[in-house]
Amino acid sequence: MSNIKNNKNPVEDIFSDPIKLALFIVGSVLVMTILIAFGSFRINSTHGSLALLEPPNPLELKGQEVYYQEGCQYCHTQTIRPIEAEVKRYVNEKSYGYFRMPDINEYQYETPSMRGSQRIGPDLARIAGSNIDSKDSLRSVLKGKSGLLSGIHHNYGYLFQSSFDMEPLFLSWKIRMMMQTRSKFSDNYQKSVFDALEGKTRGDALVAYLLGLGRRQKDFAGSYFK
Amino acid sequence: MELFNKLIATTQKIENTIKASAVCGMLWIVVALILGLIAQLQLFIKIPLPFGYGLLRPIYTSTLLFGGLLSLFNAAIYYILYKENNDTFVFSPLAFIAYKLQQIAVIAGIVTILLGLNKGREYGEFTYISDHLLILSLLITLIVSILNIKKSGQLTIKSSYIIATVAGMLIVYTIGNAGLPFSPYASVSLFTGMQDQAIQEIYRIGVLSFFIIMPAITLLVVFVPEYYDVELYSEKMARFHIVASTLILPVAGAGWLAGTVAPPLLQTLGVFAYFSFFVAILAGILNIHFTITKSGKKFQSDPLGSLLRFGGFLLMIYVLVRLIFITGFLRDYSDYTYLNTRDLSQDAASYAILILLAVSFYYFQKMNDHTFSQKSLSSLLYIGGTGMFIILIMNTIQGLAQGANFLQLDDKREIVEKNWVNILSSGSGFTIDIKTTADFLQVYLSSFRSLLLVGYILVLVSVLFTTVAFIIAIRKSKNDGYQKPNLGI
Repeated sequence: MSNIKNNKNPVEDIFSDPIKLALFIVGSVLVMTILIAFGSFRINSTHGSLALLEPPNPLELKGQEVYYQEGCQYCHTQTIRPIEAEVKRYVNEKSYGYFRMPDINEYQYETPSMRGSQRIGPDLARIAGSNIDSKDSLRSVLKGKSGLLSGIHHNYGYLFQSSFDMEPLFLSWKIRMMMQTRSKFSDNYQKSVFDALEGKTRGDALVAYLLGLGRRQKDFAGSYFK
Repeated sequence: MELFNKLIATTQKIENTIKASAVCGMLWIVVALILGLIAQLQLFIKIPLPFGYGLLRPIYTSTLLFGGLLSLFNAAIYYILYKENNDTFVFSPLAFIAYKLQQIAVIAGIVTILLGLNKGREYGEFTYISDHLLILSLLITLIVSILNIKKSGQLTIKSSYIIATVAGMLIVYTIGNAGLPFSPYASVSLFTGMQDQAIQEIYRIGVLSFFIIMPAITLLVVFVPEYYDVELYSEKMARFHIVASTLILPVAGAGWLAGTVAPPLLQTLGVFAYFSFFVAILAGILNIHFTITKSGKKFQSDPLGSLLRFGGFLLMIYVLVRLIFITGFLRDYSDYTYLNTRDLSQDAASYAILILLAVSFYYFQKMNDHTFSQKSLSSLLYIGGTGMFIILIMNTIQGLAQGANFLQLDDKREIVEKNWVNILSSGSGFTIDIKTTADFLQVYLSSFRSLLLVGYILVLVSVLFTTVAFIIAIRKSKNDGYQKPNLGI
């Protein structure tokens, strides 16, 4: 024990006791993560996209839940790489204005973030303005009846069969929990969930969510910059 | 008081926990590899299953990481601590509880994903109930490890690696899966938008570091000096690896945010930290390399030694690929293709399996005081190693070809190759006009992608062979830890 007290080298001190080492590992990862999460982000900047501060329709919020529960993020990304071909392909300035990238505010009501890591299928960041920008087209793709992978794409037709598992109560609680973590929803928004989900299926919610991807940029920010 | 004395005194049960954890680990790996194979096939062949790629993929990765590798690692560290303490292990019932909690967490996690309750975070798909069980299991493992090290009276570099790895697992898993429950089975993340994405990337690199790379290096640091009867090359290098990689890890995660709408300063710092992080890991790998090469001894190339060296070689390759593909255009070019540095399942299914299985095999052999046939290890080395090498090479070639596909646009600014099946089988040199489902199979079998399938099958066969050999050996074991109850009939 006396050796430990006399040791002035902090690294050797940490490596002299298992409890100190465990606390060092836990503490350093925790502190650095907190610094990054809270110190480096300034969301809700007023530049350019004030219109984006409006929350999405509750049906879209439910749709995002369906999106990740069904595992869509393992085949589709929602981000545009900053290389020429990608920007040209996904960002048409006639539709979207001169935004080269999605705006950081666009994602602020979305949790977890659905950026994805692999393109087994096409990127979905900009469905708005694309050739499947309609309810019927998307329903058809999800049911495996059309699209370039129609023979292989998993048939999600069961999502459209019943409104039994929409669980509006749990969505309203989810919104309440998100309000606890600084998301800017209101009490009225939380109440509106029950009407918005009435008679809808999980498939309808997923279609609403997909149709919303890129919509804000197209409708608001693009118009602003024109 | 009696219970407390039992908790301290019982040492014999740890052998049962070690065996059970090792066998479970192997079985989880076999299950995961089968699921991974089916998931890959589903991309090209219509398999009549109610579960699509979106459900099979997270089950594959989670089973492999938190079922297979974690179980094998736990078995190995319990054995190491047991031997460090001169064949005693304090609080062994707690280790047994940790093992049980981990197994229940993984089973519950798989069931909930199949029920469509994926939490939505890559490598963190389990519901909060499974998360809590797994966190509790990791916490108990950490406490038991600390208590046993305290009893041994000294914190050696081997023990330091064990503590660092388990503590890292605990904090990374807790941060990555923290959420507020909003229903009996679902929770919501504490963050939203890009802030949440940053946490996801920190979690991703944390899983890579503490659930894959650190366990592999920990076992090598313990095993290599013991097996070859040499001193570890440098304890300072080992400490540098632990301290530097831990301190840098959260910022390094932001390296994967490069090219997004995340704050530019964070992206820049992230890329630099990413470099430093993998350099720190290289220090850990080189320490083991120098332990062998600079000891001045001649080493036999027995199957076990060759297996571990090949595992270490693959680990180095994966680290170097990540170092190369974080820079500018290369990063953007390879992003989201098969050459995907964010995909941890490739790491988990290659060097991590080799190193953890080989060391488990060796320790089990020592624990039961008998020798195995070397055929199992040779099959893992030659059949499995070939499969892993094929997967690595094919993913690299196809990733580069996919990247080229994504760059080619027509006059309407649309991608030239309209058919995604042809993009998925990139690198074959030709494309097929697909009209029927049978055409998909034709494309698949005639493409480079079918070679990848061969790789997956080779890995699965070798692991299956090793697992069967392991289980047969356990059944023949002289050391009968488990006694059938006498019903007195």
